[in-house]
Amino acid sequence: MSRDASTVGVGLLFNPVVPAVLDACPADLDHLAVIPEALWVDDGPGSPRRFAEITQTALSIAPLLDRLPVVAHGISLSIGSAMPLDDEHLHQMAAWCDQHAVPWYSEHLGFFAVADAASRVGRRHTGLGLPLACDRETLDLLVPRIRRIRRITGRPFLLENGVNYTPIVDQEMSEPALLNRLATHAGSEVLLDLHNLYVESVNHGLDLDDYVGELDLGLVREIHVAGGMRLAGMYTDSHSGLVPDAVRQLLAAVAPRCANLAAVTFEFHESSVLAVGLAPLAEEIDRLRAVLRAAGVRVTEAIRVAC
Amino acid sequence: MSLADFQRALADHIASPTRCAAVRARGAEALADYELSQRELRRLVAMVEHRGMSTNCTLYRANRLTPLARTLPATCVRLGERFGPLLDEFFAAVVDCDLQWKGEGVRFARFLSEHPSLSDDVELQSLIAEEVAAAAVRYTTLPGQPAINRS
Repeated sequence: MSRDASTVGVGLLFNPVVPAVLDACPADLDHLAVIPEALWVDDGPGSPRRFAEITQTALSIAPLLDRLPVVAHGISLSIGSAMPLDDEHLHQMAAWCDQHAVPWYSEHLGFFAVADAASRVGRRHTGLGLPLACDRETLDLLVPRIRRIRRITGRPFLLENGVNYTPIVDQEMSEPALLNRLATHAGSEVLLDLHNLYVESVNHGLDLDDYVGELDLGLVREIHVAGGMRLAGMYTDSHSGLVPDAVRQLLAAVAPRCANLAAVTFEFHESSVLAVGLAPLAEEIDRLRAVLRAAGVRVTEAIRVAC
Repeated sequence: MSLADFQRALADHIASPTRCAAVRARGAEALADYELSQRELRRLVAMVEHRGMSTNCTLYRANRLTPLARTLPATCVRLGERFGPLLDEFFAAVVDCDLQWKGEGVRFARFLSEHPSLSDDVELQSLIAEEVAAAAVRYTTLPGQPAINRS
């Protein structure tokens, strides 16, 4: 995250091996993106002491939280579920964001939970993030929820474009059109995941120029980049290893056009360490910074971080 | 109920290759248990018939397997060839799913401990108990969390 409004910072999404990566190979970081739900045990809606921080994870991340600005990247609010918004979760998220002076909170354009009367807590996780149809119905569902999220958290709220391995037919509008309209009607902004776009282009032939041409790039406050792998016949957003060249090229093409871009975040899955090694993961930060500089983006002077 | 049923139907099918096979064989007729509009029916059939549905089903299993493998690694290995069928049985029988690692691990441990085919395997039962205890230590939580504002 940039400390100067006119520059762009480069950071990492925290996972359990990030401290080891930074211990072996100190990197120049501007921010740490954190999935707050990965730090908690959640006993489910209505539980008397629903959320509790996991000691081991808290100790592991504490040195980084002390040194770096933090952005929150949620994975469990399930903003698009047909059941009511989980207010307990939202209040917990707001408290965490306040505690760590988080400048913005992002979530996924999708749903992660469905109602299930047979479950102990009346709902169940869907196992993976699932897509929402880009329809008027979705717009009407999300607009009041986004307003509520912004009011309760008291900070900008970003929605991330999704990955969908099974396209939804007969949609009333495109995803960029939906994101633009949500911004107009509810004030959300955009976390543009360039690897997700790349996945859609590989699997379904998405025209990247059309997508970024239609999206209001002034809404983009954060960009995600990652790697992927093939699984069961599709190219997946598995966060495996390093960022593909095609995604770096997309970053170079898109970032200079995002007038309000403040952060670029590299996401990798902890298992990548086995496949790629520690040093290349840390060096990806430098590569991304070089890509941005070569594209004419003013990059923040970062903090060298070792654990 | 339509949107809720559409989402539930999609989630049910991603969790069950058997349900997907039924839709591929019988089309919309196999979705009669859900209250869906004609457009939702068309969408769901197209999604289930798409080649990407195999990826969805694989990711679902991988994401549900991960907490079990992390929480009960030695138990999973010791089950050997029994592991796959037991996993299918567990996914079908235990609807509680939150992808919380400790909770998923404890539910699977309870399922294994109570499974008739495993109750005589003293060594396995001991291993399960040991790994549940280790998970309890690993996921110890900090005291003094602030109360949630429910307003």
